[in-house]
Parts: sequence; C-alpha cells; structure tokens
Amino acid sequence: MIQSLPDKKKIVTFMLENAVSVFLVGFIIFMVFTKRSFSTWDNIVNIINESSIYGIAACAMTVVIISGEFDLSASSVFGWSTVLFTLCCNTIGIVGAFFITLACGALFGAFNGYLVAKIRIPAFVVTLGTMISIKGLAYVVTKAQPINTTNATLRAIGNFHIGDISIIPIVYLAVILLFFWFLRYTKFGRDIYATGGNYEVARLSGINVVFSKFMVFTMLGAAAALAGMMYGVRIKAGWAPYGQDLSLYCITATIIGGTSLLGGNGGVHKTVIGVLLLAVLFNALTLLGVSGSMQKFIRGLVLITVIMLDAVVVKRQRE
Amino acid sequence: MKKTFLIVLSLLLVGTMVSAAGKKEDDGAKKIFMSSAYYTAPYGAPLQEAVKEKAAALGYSVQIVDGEENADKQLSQFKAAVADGYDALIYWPGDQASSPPLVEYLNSTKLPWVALNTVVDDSVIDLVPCMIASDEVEIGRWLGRLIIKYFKDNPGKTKNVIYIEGSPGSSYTENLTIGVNEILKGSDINILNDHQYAQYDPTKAMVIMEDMLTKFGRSIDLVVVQDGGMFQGAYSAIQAAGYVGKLGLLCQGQDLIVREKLLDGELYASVAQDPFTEGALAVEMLDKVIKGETIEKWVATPTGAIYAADVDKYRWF
Repeated sequence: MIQSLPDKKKIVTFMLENAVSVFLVGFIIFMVFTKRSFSTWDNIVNIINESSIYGIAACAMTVVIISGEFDLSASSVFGWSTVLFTLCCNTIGIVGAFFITLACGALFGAFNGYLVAKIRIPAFVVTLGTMISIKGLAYVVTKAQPINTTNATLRAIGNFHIGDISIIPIVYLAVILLFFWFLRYTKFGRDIYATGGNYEVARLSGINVVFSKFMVFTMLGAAAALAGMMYGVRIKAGWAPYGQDLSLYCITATIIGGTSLLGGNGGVHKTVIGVLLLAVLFNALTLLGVSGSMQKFIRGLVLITVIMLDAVVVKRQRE
Repeated sequence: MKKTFLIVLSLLLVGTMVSAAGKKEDDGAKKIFMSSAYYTAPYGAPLQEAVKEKAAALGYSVQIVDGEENADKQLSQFKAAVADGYDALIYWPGDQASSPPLVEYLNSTKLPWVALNTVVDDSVIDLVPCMIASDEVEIGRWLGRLIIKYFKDNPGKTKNVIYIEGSPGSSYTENLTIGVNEILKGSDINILNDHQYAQYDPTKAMVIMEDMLTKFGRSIDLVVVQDGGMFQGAYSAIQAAGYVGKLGLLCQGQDLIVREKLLDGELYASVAQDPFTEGALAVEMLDKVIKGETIEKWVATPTGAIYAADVDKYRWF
C-alpha cells in the first residue's frame, strides 16, 4: 500500500500530462464498442483523408505559435492558393502551377514575417490586414466566381491511391516528418523555441530572432499554399472563400495538442494528436447521429475542457 | 476552483457524448443523411425543419449535419454516412464549382440521393438523379416585374433604384441579378449603384444602405434587396435615417420581418421562395427515387409575387 502511492501519483501525473492522447485513445475505444462502422477500413481512411489537408497547415502554424506569434491570414492564403493553382492548371499545366502557387504562398508569408519581425507590428494587426486583402485579391482575380479544372494530370493525381490512401495523407506525412526533424534536430529549430520562450534573452544570446520570426511566417505561407493545392487535388476547384475556417482550425488543433499559445514549447507531434482528435471527433459525432448544432456545442466543449486541463497540469507542475 | 470547473466540464462532455451515443434509432426505419452547406443560414433552418417533418411523415429517420460550405468536409461526411449504412442521401452543395467530385462520389455509392437548393455544376448536372431547387433566374424576373409594376403604381419624375445583392460568385445571387436585368433591359429604370454585396448579412446590408442614403439621399425612389435577412438590415438604416414612407421597398423571401412590413404597408411586395416547400419536396422526391419511381430531373420550387393581401397563403420563418 505504502509502495503503491508514488506509483499512483506517477500514473495520475502521466495521465494529466498526456491527457489529450489518453482522451483520444479512450474515445477511440469507446467508439469501437459503440459504433461498428467507426472501425471499418473505409471509415479509417476517411478520417485520415479528412485530417490531412488542414493538418499540413497546422504543422506550420505550430511552428509560428512556438515562436510566440500566430497568423490569421493562413485561411486567405489557402483560398488564394486554390484559385491560383486552378487557374495555372488550366493554363500552364500542373508543374508550373505547383511551383508558382508555392512561391506565391511563401511570398505572402514573407510579407507577414517582414512586417511582424522587422517592422515590429503586432501579428494580429498584420495578419488581419493581409487576411482581408489576400481574400479581396482572390475575389478580384476571379471576378468572385468559383472556377474548376478538368486538367487530366490533376485528375490522375487525385485518383492515385496506395491501398486506398490518396496522395494527400502521404504529403501530410512528409510535412510532419520535415517539421519534426526541423524543430528537433536543427539549430534553427531550437532557435525558434528560444525566440518564443523569451525574445529578449534569445536576442541577447546571439540568436537572430528577427530572421527566426520572418522564416516561420514564410514557412506557414508555403504550407498554407501546399494545403490549398491539396484541396485543389481533392475538389478540383478554386474559390476565394474556400478554407475560411483554416486559421482557427489550425490554432485549435495546436492548442488541443498541447502547444502553449504563449510560445516556447510544444511540437508538431503534439499537433498531429490535436488534428487527429478533431478529425475523430467530427467523424464520431456524425456516426453517432448528432445534429449539426449539437456538434458545434460539443466541439467547443472539448476545446474548453482541454484548455482547462492544460491549466491544471501547469499549476500542478508549478506546485 | 480550476479542478472543480474541469470536473464539471468533463462530466458535461461525457454526459453529452453518452446521451448522443445512446440515442435509439427507429426500428426498421430507413435512414436518410443530409449534408447542408448552409446549415446556419436563415433559409437553412426552416428548410431543414421541413426535411425532418416530411421524413418523419414518410417513415424515415433523418440526420442533418453542417457542411460549413466546405466541399471537402461534405465529402468526408458522406463517406462516414455511407460507412455507417445510411440508406439515402441529400446533398445541399455550397457552390457549383466544387460539386463534381461529390456528385461522382454520390453516384459511386449506388445509394438513392437528391441534390437540393444550390444547382450543381453544368458538367455533372445530368448525373444528378433529381435536383430540387428554385428557378433562381425566374425569382430574379419576378423582382424585375415588381420593380416595373411599382413605378407604374407610383409614377414620379425619376425611377432610381438601389439594388443590394447577396454574395459575390454565388450562383443564387448571380442568377437573381440575371433575371432582374433581363426584365429591366430597355426600360428607363436606373439602378444607381454598382454591385453592392451584403453577403446575406443584415449588418452588412445596414452599412451599405447607410452609405447609399448618404450618397444618393432623396434621389432614391425604390430599394430592392435580394433576401429577407438583408432587407431587415437595410430597413433599419432607412428607418434610422427617417426615410420610411419616403421611398419604396421591395425584397425576396418569406422571413417574418417581410410579413410584418408587408402588413404595415411599408413593403410594396416580396417574391416567394419557400424553404418549407423546398425541404418537403426534397424528401418526397428522394422517397420516389428510393422506390424506383420515375421522376423529373429538375423539380422547381414554386415562386411568385407576395402582396400584403396574400400573407396568409404562405408559411413564414
């Protein structure tokens, strides 16, 4: 009995510190026993596909949040990229479309990064402005009309599957590995943690904090563009309003995963759990027959619960 | 305090999930699944209620989810529904351009399905078993006819109109404007403003109307608004500026505010687009598809002018 007390405390600490993963595992077990259709291969593939497109941008948003910032304009870069990619696919072909869209997304991100890192304008103001203007630009270019494409190569890529898994989850996996390696095993990745943890201390330690912040926004711009192109691969259309909930989704997934909005800690592996939890939750609520209105309520409830859980864990650690 | 709050939240979450999971499905009833791109739109709520009512009347159970104007999300929702063994599907698309992959997927399921409200892309329209939608251009034509009739009933020196539209790029908005322009072509009616989009948002419509009143003031003879929700916003601006009764008002829709202003004599007329009929028709047509009966490829929701004397003939929301 005396020996079991520390073990019990360890288990409780472990459960609290990994609460989201524990909740996810528990929820999956609950669903497997409640709904037989949840664990069918088709549904598992559906969950993977559903989480992949926004997941790509969520990985990059995590890096921005670790650096102590956030970006509201990712949703507009996403919408713009669906438009540009579709237009380019219809004119110059898919290879040119890919590189132009990616470069354009990175350019938008770099513009945000320059204003935030160099000019020192708050990210909220900068990205709010670019969010509105990029969306406006997409409306102007398309005369507000949605456009679609019948590009044969794009269609072939969209129909390409490896064991029912489309190309989008494969791209998502590559992005996860890239960001995981970048944050954990490169000096630049560690500089981003230091910049987000304490900006002044990082600057005085010789870290190029301006460059770090500039680069995280550029990476997010490129990732949002890549996500927009993946949406184009799946839906074969582009329109300015597409992905308007992307920024909020990415921030939500990052927070749920356990990365602090204050910066300096967290990781892409945590965000992957957050993205997966959201996808499983959306899917499960649909399978459980929950109406659209109730789904919104439950999603909000999960977010608040996880944030509260995080606050309890932080308090426990301090004590 | 934090711990207590967390425990309460967790219990609430678990309770909600368990009650959702524990819902009994109707024994033997066929299950219909509907993904609504405009779940939270004012027009969506009565339409979805009508779907539920009609489905219950015909002995079906129905689940309606929010597609959030996101074709990718709608595709995932349909895939989840198919995995869960639903018997029939209703698809309310968000826009035309993104509809082809969904239409192809829905056909690949071999399940009975119908499309509702937003007309799908031309490239796949022949692949849809049944499209239940308003003839949007015809609604626009009715607005045009009422504009002409208004000036016939209220002759003046000028025929200046402010015209407030819905969302840029939305097929509904565009088609209404096509219908209006078709009727007004060659007339001496003058639309004062360029395209002004309030995006079906009453607040945006109010701001646009305030700007229009500032810019054109007493030279405005008639204000035309593309839907009842936006009419509410525009009316607030007109009322605040003291212009009620000094200019004509015309809109489309069956919102309660429209009924109220028709009865007050402040609104000249409205154009019918009945979400209740549209929702009920969708389930009726789906029922016929399920039973293998022959149906028309396009079922149009009835439309026409509504005057104050007609309000009791319509349902309002």
